[in-house]
Amino acid sequence: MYLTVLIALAFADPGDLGSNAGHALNGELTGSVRARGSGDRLPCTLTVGDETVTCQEDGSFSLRLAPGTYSVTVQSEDFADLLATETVVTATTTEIVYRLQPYSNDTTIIVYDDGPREYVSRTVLSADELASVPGSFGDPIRAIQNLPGVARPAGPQGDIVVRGAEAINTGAYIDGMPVPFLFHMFVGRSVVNPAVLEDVEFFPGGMPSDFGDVTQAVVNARTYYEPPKQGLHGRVNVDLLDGGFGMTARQGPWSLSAGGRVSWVSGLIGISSQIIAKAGSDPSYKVGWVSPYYSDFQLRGTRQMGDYQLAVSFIGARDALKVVPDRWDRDGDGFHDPNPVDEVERPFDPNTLLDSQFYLGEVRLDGKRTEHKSTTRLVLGWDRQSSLFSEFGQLSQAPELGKVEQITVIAERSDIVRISDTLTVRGGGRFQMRPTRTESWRDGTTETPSVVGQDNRLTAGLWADAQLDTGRWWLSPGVRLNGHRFSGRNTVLPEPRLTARYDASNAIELTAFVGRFSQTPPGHRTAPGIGNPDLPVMQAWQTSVGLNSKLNNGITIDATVFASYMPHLTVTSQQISLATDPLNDFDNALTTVVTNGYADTRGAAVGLEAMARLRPQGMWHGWVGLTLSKSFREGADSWYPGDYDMPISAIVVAARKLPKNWQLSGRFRMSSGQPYTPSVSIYSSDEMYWNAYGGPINSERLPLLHSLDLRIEKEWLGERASWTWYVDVMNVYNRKNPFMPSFNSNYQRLTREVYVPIIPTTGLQVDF
Amino acid sequence: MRALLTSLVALSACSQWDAPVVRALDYRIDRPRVVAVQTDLEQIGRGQSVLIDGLILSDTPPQSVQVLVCGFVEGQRTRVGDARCFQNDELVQQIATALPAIWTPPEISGDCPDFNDAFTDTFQPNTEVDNTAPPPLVRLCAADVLLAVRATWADGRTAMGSTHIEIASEDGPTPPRELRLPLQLRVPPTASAGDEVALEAVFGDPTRSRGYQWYVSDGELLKTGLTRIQRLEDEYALTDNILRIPDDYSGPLTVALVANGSYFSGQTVWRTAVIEVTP
Amino acid sequence: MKWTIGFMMVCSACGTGLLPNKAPQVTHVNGTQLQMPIRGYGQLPGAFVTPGQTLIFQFEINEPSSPGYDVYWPEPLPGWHWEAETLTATWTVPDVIVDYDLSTSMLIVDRDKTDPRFTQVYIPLEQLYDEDEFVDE
Repeated sequence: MYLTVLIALAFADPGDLGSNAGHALNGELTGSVRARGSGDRLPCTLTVGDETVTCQEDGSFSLRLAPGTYSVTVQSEDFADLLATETVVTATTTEIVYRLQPYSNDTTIIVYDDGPREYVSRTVLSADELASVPGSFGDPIRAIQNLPGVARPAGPQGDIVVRGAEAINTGAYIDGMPVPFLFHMFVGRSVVNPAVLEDVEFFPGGMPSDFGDVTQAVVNARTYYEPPKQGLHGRVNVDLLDGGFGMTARQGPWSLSAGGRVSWVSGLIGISSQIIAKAGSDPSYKVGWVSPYYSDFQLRGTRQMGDYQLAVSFIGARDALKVVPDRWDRDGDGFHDPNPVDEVERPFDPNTLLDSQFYLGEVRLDGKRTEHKSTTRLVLGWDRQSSLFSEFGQLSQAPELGKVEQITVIAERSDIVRISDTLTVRGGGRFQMRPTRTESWRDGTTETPSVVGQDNRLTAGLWADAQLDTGRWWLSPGVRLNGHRFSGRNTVLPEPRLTARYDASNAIELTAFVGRFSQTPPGHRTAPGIGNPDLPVMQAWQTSVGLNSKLNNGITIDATVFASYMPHLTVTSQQISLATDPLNDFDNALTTVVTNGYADTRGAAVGLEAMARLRPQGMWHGWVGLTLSKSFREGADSWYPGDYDMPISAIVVAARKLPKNWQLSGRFRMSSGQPYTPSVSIYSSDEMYWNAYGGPINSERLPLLHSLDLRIEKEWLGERASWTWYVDVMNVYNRKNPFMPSFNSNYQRLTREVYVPIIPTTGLQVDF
Repeated sequence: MRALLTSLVALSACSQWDAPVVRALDYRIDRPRVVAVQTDLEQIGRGQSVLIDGLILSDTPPQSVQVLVCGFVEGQRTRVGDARCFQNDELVQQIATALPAIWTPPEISGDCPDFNDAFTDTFQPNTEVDNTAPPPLVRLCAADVLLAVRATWADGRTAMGSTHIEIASEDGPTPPRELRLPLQLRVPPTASAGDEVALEAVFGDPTRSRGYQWYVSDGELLKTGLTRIQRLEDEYALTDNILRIPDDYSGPLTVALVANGSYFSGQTVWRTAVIEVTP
Repeated sequence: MKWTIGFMMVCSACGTGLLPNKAPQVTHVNGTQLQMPIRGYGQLPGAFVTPGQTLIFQFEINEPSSPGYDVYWPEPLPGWHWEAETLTATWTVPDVIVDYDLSTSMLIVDRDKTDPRFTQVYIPLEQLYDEDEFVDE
């Protein structure tokens, strides 16, 4: 009899065992429900399948379930519902912390989550929405470009340009640490592996007082300090462009998270260049190619010590654009012929066109008592950006024909004190020192760079604000005192800010903001020899009025009207002058020198952003975004459109679940083309060809920009891991959206030479 | 080196890629154009005057014409070949408002290196050559600037053409280019729409074999807009073309021929003619 | 050369992209395959010519996309004759050669006006001089 029972158990389908509590082979789902941000435990209910269970008073729950996969809905009053899919494993306890998002908010917090993985903080926004947004390669940070107010230029750069400002006016951070770039160039993958990313905090404007040294927007990628689940979990992903991994491990009070990525697309480009290039019948010739290379890593160790958490972290990333030169072997000796160009001593590698890298280390102590939270941290870092592009236009992360190296030291302390149920007071200080060294490589043939400049850049900020919550009204007045020191000058600016929210009804909330911001221009823009040391601190005043509404059928509509005035803004400017040029002239005649420089000017922007979003329910989710905006800069004689002035911009993102764990999603975007400076043609009579010079700044516009991206993915759920295979195609119909103007030889026709073509990629991801 | 680096970015190369097509086929006067600018001197000696002329082709006469020089600095030698010089108004001077124009440039500094000193250690002068004779008027002692003709129309359209000119900082007149080389353009005075008409040009220098650039108001040039010498007669070079007039054309049809100086180290000359086309 | 091959991901239309509009291609001249090491540019083997000699070039052109192409001969040599129907160029070298440079080029231009492409084929020709002409006196 005993044997018969065993046999019956061995062959029975797990579903037949039923969900009787106490069955020896059932698994357990246990954990707690907390509020995002504060971490407070919440009263809640969990709906698992057809059953609804109420949590304990302290927000904890415990369920015994038959092994299998379940849809779990977590609910708590005044918080957004959380949908999750959990897998219960035989005789195993799965411990989870659910963090719920409070309804009212004037910032968009995007939580990245990749579907039914076993770990983490998820919210209704993330689980199904961002994970599958196509064209962002499954990258949540890149997915921010799909929100209204964010300019989506046609080019390959992953800059986040918001509300008519410049790319440099968006502060990029990882866990509050400033980084030179958040995206790898050309392919646009973010520098943080999504597997270690907890969420992405995005402010299109109206940042509270704890954010300084930024004038328009903030993208703050937040990685895990405390993985919510015990044990080892992670992800490995591989595709045509790169491979990466991310993992978290937690055992008792210790936890570790690590992630990284390395690209191999350069190898693919090399092989395909050889195939495409018609080398003819000359076997001594090997074609060269240009390719990107990128990598990144994140490493963190954390220890919980009662009310405190100590964390030590390291992050780094590198982007390079290298040339593998053409090679000849004319003398047939089996070795490449020496190239006289290579024999010249130079202070740089002529085959490295762009090279940007940064490395940061942090020691951080967080106090987590409910009535008083604090953060104390010390950050040390180093970054370097170099470029050989002299007239390509300024990429925001690299100087023109030179190199910038910086050391970063940050000491910061912030406190949040809850005085009462209605009043919270916050304050803090941040001191940042950045010794900077720049080199100019204009004279490319000598052993030492022609100009070397050094500067010790300092930024210091003290801030305080109060948050008053009367139920209907939520007010946060604050002030920040920001000091900047660079190019030997000191500037101190007070930055008052006020955020207000009003719950007009259960479904409608109104928001408003007004405030002032200041920002030190990037290091290479003020560096002597490369930039303009006379640039002042950038400043901006922002104001916005908004409406967030939630309709009964799961649709939310958000609309914001914004305006900003920038009394000091750093813009790029092309300067033509006469000077001696030792490279090209040995008799000291003056010749035309074209330098791409930086100037201070005024700017303004105004606009309307609107978004209608269908939250994930049933088979569909997605959103429609529309932005109408104008941005201007002051020129010598009149105001001209800003570089990212795209008056109309629309986007539609839609995703549909299909049977058997397939999902199809698409993104269609359409916007005005970017402005550009036209070329006025001059026919050179004695040489019988055409030259050109720049006409009025940004007086012409590139063609209407539109493209479609599609993504299809399939998931297999295993006992210990889930496997996802995806195909992601960017620019499905290969629309030629030029991202910079190029002309035919008589400058009469704008050719669509420089555009990002169709880029398909396929990959595999394993989550465990 | 810098030029090599900038050319690594495909843009500048991409903008010249269809030059052979444009030079051969962009011959219709479908927009205002300055198709030739000439000077009667290749190098202006100290105190000399230069005659500047240009050919402007358009459907209507321009409202204004400016003759501009870019990169000229009084008292200073400059070497300017980049058309972007015209982007900086401070470097541009207007020297006339009609064509033809005469310009006498102010003096530039004689701060010229000695012919031998001008060479760096890398390039040793050839000591076997007898260089005791006075050196010729050399490039080293001149300024090289851009001259341009800019025409503006009432509706805001503009057209621009340019040429180089050297201004010597030492005495010595330079021989002017042969200004009055005979060029005769032979076209029928009248034709009907749809006709193919023969165009012929006779040029007074038999050695000038190439660089004949044709322009027409409309129609198709069966030998393209760029032709070369077809035959010699006595001391004259002949080139020709065939114009197919569109079926729906009527009225005056302009034909222009520019014999471009760059092929000949000589002067650019041009002629225009009109064919009255009846429907 | 390297700049025409590189930037595969961005400068697609400079001849290295995945789906560019292709230029018309000259595949054969007088039955011999024409190598075109650089996209859009080809060169025939050079030839020496003497007055009275007749040269015939019979081309095979492949145009992969509509709406077709046109062939042009800029700066045509005196007496150069092109037969569009048979894609044949014929030239009888004149008795008096008036032009020291006898090279010529063929332009094949796509009729696609939105994204025109072209191919250029260079034909190097040179007059064959009698050696006696250069005897020192």
